[in-house]
Amino acid sequence: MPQGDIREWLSRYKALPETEISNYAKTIRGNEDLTSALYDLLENDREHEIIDPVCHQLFEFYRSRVENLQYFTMDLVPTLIWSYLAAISRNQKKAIGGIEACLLGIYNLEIVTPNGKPKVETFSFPTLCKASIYHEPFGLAALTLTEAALQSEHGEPMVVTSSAMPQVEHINSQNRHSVLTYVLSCYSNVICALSPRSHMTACYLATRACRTGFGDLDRVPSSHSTGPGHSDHILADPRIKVTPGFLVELLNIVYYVMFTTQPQLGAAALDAIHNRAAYELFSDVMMVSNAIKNSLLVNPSGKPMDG
Amino acid sequence: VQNVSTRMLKIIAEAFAIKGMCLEKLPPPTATTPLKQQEHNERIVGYYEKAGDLAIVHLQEMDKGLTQAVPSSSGSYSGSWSSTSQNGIGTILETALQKSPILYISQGKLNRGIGAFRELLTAVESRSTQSMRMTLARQLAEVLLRGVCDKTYMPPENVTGRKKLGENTLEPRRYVGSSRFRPQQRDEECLLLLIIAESLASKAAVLERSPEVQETKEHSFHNACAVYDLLTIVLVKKMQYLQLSQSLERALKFSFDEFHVWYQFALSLICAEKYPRALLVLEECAKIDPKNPLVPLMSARLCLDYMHTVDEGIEHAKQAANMGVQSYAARGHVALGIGYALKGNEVKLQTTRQELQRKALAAFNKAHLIDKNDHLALFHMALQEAILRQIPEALKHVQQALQLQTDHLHSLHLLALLLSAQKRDEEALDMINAALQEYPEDFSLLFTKSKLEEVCGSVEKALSTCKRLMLLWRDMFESTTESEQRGTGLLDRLTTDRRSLAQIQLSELSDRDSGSVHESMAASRVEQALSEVASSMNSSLMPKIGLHQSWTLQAQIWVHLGELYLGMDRVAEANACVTEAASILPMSHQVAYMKGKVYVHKKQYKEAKMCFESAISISPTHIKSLIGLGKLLAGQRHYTMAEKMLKDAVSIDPTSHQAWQELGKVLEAVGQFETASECLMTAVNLESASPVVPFSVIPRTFH
Repeated sequence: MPQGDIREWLSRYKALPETEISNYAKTIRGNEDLTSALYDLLENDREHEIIDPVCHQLFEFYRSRVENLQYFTMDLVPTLIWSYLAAISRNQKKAIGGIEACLLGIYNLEIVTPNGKPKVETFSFPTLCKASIYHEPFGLAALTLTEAALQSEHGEPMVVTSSAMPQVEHINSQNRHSVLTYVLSCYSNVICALSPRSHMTACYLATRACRTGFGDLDRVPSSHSTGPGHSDHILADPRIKVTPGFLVELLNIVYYVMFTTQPQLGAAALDAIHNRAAYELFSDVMMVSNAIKNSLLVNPSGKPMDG
Repeated sequence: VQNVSTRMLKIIAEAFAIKGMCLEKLPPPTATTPLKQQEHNERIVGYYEKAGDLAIVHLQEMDKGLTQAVPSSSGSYSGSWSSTSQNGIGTILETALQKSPILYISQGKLNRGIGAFRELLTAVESRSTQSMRMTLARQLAEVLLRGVCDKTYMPPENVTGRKKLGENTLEPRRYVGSSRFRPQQRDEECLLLLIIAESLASKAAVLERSPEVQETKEHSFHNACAVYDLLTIVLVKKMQYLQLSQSLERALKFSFDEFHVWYQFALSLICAEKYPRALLVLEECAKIDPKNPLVPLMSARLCLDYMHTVDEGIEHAKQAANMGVQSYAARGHVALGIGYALKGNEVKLQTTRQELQRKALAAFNKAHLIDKNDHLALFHMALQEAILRQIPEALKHVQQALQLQTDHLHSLHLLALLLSAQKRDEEALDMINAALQEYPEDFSLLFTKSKLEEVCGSVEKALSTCKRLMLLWRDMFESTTESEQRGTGLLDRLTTDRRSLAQIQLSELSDRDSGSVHESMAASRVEQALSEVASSMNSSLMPKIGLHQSWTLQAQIWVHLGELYLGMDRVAEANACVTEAASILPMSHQVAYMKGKVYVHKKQYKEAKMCFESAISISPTHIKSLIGLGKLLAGQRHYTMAEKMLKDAVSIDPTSHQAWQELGKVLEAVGQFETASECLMTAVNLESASPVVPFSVIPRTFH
């Protein structure tokens, strides 16, 4: 009885005394029965009454800032996002209030530092002109004398500070994908610590978000003048809206996953994203997917299977 | 071992390397404990590491020797030198050098592997190791990208704390010093490695095109490509498109006829918003691979969405549509339809325009036939039908489009306008409000909302929507427009005022000191497409609005507010709005038109006429000004001129019921009763299907 596991999980954590949390956290991710039941529930049964308390508890886990509990929730994030997007595309917003709240909660937690300040990330772009632990600066003669080369001759690495993400109170169409993209990037930041099963669901997320609603459009190589033409009605599953940023983040995840735990699924996900990006004419996504595909094709650099 | 000759060093290094290789080849001692097994592995790696260190020392010494001694005097090993300078350090040592990190990683010790890579790379480079450095740098970047996340990344530690580098130790010299750039994040380290690899790769590229070097050429090309591909992955993640396009440009010199590199270059230019150049590069791509449907499709989109070169766009779209890959063909037809529709807007001749509109509709239909699930095809079809005033069909199609994508902004907007065209204004307003729930920061929706509220009789609400527009403008653009001051800052004063717009006397707020009006160079430029600004903005791509456009938008808000006040008979406020708008954009046909309207309201016909005339001279196709001028002339009994103006208006937009109506009145006045009644009939028919805001506020784009 899988839901029994879930109910027990729900009640047990609530009753847990503060002192036992760290022990509990160490073991909870190993509970196969429970995690399977949760994957299954979120995937297939998103209108079940238990979803809301489950999502609530997942968020509680995340908010605890106990590392393993956070991973427990993060493991489920791709499944959550998939269920959410699938429901949105069918206009079933009411059914997934719990999932939305959980994802939004994670977003709002992650955009601030633990002491509540907006998180600002700095990134310094290395330049060849500034000596590094790996090289001596090259003389101007070595570089081609372009305007860019002259500009970067000032030497100091360019430091870029990302602006803080805004606090979001309600998810709407305007901000939905930027929220999801940010949550995905948090997933990507801790991806090494997440379970292979979670990696698998990330691939499923990518494949299905990109392929749903396309049917066999590309598989039938008939000339377009005849067209498929067999059905006048619209396919049951509408396409899922994607944005370039969302797909780039997914690609980064898939790139990692295909070289670690899921070579086949990763490759399939890569293809799906590549085709969708081409269809939508997202030039930035296409650049990345082209790059990955090309590096696999003519690689001096190793196949996914090499590990 | 100390003070050995460089030659000895090399021999010892090779000895270690071969020992390592032999051990590796040997089957691991069977029936031993995992512990023994591990010991065995450690030994192999140990030998390789020693070999590697010695090899590097050897090379560094050689470089030193070369710079110190005159080449001819070192005759004893001149033979060995010439061979090393060509072949590096020989295959044995080269393999050994690269082996240790790979072995660590294949044994699952990722961090030690990364450490080994770093050890090798921090060693001071010598002349003959460049190609190997490139490989090592690329491999480390690969390992970091594919096996490490921010959570597990450990920045390279400071090596200055290591034991003193005496001259006698056989440790290779390393890059040390605290002033060196030390990466702190995974992507920083990757990027550093990759730009080093890139500079080495582009130096090492084989440019010769003779068949003998074909193989080496291919090899070096693939190696370079691998570097560029990784660079792409990192730079796109960091959204540094300009830098990426510059790097890829360097790759072009050894990428003759290589589709991949050219295509990537084109894409990077698009991302860096260098559209004209991207188009040229895409043409090159089309030459290399004429069968790829994406290339013309991309070109078509560039032409139509960004560069407004419609004819060229149509040509590209035709190609894309006829290439036979289903999904791209569908999008190709969409592009074709958009092209025809855009062209239809430009054409003056009635018959040509109808022909183009028919073609556009056909193209959208075809796209829909091929790809039933594409909401864009349906949306554009609906928009085209709306413009042709086939309201029921348009309604049906836009609803289908919304089934496919429930929150498509432009479809929602179109649906609201269609409802208002059926005079279901309340429903339209509900629709707009629902859309605004999803897109609270869309200017175009807010403009329509304000207009609808006015039509529904609640001017108060319309005014408060206007205030929301102002607040929104301030929130979005205040920071970006700081560098340039325009207008009198009336917007600031209004948005900080807590009262609603209905209560404020604008004239009391507006700055008496009109000398403070700032005029900038940009402001004197003639408006190009003022009316399209609000609508051409897409909320998902919002931040890319230029300074000028944001000012145009503010002027548009003032014009709109002025119109509202005029409808309420509050001339003083309307006048203040117009003045403000004019101080922001002195040369705008919309502002000039609005000025004219205020004069008409004040019955100062002479001034009004001048305003309308200047509006028309800025934008000869501005319908409202033409109608306004026609009406004015008719009022002054200049019927022939009035008739001319109104006929112009009608031929520019045959769906404008106001134009037909005024034309009818003029014709009636000159006694052409039959034609007049026809015109009036047309006006009545059109009026019954006209939306509050013209359908053309909805942009024809690819999203």
